[in-house]
Amino acid sequence: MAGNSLRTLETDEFDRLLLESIEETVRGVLGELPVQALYDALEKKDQIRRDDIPQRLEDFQNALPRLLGAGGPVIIRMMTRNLYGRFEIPYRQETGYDLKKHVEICRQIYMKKKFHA
Amino acid sequence: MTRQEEHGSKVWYWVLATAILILVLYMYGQMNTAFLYMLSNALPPLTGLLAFSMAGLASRRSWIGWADVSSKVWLGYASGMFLWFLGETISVAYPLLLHIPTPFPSVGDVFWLAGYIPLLSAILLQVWPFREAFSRGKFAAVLVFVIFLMILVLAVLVPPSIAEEHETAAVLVSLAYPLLDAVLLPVAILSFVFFMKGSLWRPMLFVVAGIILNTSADVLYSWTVLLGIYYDGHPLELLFHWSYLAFALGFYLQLKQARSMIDLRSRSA
Repeated sequence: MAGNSLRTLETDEFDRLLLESIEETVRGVLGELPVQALYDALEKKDQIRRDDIPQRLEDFQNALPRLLGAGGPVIIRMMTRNLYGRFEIPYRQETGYDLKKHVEICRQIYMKKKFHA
Repeated sequence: MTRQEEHGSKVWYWVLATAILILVLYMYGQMNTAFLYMLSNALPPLTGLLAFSMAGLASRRSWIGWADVSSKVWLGYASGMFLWFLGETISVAYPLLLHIPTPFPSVGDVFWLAGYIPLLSAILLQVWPFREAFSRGKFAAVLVFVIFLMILVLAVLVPPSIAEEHETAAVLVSLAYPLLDAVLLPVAILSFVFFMKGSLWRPMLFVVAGIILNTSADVLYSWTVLLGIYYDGHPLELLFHWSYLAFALGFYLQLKQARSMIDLRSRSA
């Protein structure tokens, strides 16, 4: 039981860091208000709430090109790089890896680090 | 249709109606020289003021601080609009208030030329982080276009302008306009293509469309002056007015977007 709740805590912590990473990227490239505009559009058009993003990464990734056009895939690459940097993992651009796959890699490494800590 | 969408489509109709009205006025003016002269001199500061007012409001609403990218982008556009509005106003003040032809170069030209700097900076600030979205092919196409435009400008527009002017200031200003247009226009076209897809870019799309219309009109203006076929009230002036309408629409959309984002932020805080 204690192990499970620790795992949930760590998952929550990872999701929080993931959201921070997403926000930091959008804020850094587009600015403060566009972060809000992005969340608003995601919620209105795709019913993706901010807190749902870690669980709905595929929907999030599909929605971005519609909202940001050719900038969508670029933002996703930037988010991925930011995420790797945040967890001090060397970033390698693997072909065929989408955001979900990259997040999964980071999540596993994060969990391993937490487990060994 | 939501109330916001309904309001948005009303603005579209207003802008379209104004664009058509200006077209009709210019068509009527072609048959009435005195009216056309007045229209050609009185309208630019008005459309310029409309664009600048909207830009100022949009920038004020979008302002978070100096560290914020979006704040700097909209401030850049607003500064550019302010300088171009001053340029328009000062240029027509000579014939309308002082009853003398506008000298070349005039103080208006200083503001006009200065306006290019914040506009170009704002576009680059917005688009540069996304440079990897542009394929090598697109970059190459734009580069070829810039070089072609530069050669065209240098070969066709510049030598006669220099030959006619004897003062250094006049020569420099004659050179500066087409060269700045040749730089700004391709950047604006590339950005327009980038902003075309993506609903969050809608305000930017109209602002950049305004820049494309304005710089294209500027190139046409230099060309018609060179051919000796330009006159006060020439139909190409429509492009300048329509560009200010496109600017105004883009800034208005940004103002609306910023307003609702601030409301959302304050509600969630």
